[in-house]
Amino acid sequence: MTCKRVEKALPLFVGRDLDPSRMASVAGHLVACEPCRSLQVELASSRAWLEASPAPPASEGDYATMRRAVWSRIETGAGAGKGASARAGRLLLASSGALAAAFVAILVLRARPQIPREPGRTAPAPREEVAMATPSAKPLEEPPSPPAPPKLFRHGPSAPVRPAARGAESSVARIEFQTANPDVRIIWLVKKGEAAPAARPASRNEEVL
Amino acid sequence: MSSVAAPALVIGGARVSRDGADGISPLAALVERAREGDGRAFDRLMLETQERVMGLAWRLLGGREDARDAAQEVYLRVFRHLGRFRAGQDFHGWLYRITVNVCRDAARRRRRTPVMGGPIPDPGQPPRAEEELLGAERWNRLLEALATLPSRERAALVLRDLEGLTSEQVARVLGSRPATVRGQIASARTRIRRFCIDLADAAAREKA
Repeated sequence: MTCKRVEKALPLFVGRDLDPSRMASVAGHLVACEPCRSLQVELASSRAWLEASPAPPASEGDYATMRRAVWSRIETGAGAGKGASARAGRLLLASSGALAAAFVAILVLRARPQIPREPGRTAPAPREEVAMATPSAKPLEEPPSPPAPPKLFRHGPSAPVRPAARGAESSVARIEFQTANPDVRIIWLVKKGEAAPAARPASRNEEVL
Repeated sequence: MSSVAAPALVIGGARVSRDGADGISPLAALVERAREGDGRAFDRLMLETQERVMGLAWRLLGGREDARDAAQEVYLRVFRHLGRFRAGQDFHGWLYRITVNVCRDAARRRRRTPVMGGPIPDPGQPPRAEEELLGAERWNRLLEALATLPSRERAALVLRDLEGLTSEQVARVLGSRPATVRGQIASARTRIRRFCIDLADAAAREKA
């Protein structure tokens, strides 16, 4: 092996990056060649210096900042990609399940149906009074009170409380039910001669009137 | 003789097997859990690999801020493409490949030599002891040395001599042929030798 070829091979020789046969050839040349041996020592020293270099002086703060930034970017959707959106959703749901549950609960409470109030009608009585009160047809006379969320059927509709007087003279009878919610009243207009509907438990649709 | 259950490791709430008792390494288990949407496993995955990623990015880009930004981007890409990672694949190799690509992109985007101007001092965390001072000095010298290398040679050398990958592994990470990578490594070692000689000469002149 010539010195020129050895010189070319030495950077790989010092890192044992040559195949075994070439390693042996270079090693054989170095035994007899002082200049090449000197070059080999220099290369080995500089490689050792490189390998002995310290680890990056990163602090735990650097790592923590980096991880926080990653999560922040994932949450804002920067990590979105094919398959990542669903994973992001799962990850975020997993990490904030309780928060999500609370949020949903708030949404459900706010989404309860708001029944348009007739002009001039008073606001419903406070919840406790409604629960205790017997359904009546006299909410109009009650004094005004602060508005409250509408109360739906608590125990199903009550029995008919008052046939309408007006219906007595006409061919149509008017039957009204007052529910537990003073804002919700069910009115049937029944042709004379037909049977009045029997009281039955509230259906789901009625609950969301 | 009673059988003893294989010890399990609970890392940040994510339960993983300690070794190959069930054929799954802790890292592979973390990867699998992260793929399934376990946030704590993904966080733990970052904790387990952050030094490697940040260290590589720092050596390739030359600065703390750049390295931190690059590491962020690396983990975002990991998160984005975790679904493509196949079980049994070399996760560290995959991570190195992403890191090198992110650093290349960062260098290209900023249109500057990655370690231009030499090492970037860290004013926020001055070294406290003499030992730390020496460590910081050596670290800065390393960055100066790496700054003398073209980016491909730098990547090949860092992966081979500082991260300890074989030249074949380096070739896979860089997406090059092994012969090409060996040429880059040889050239880089020659330049580092030159740098060390210059450094020694400069020190000798200072003494004189």
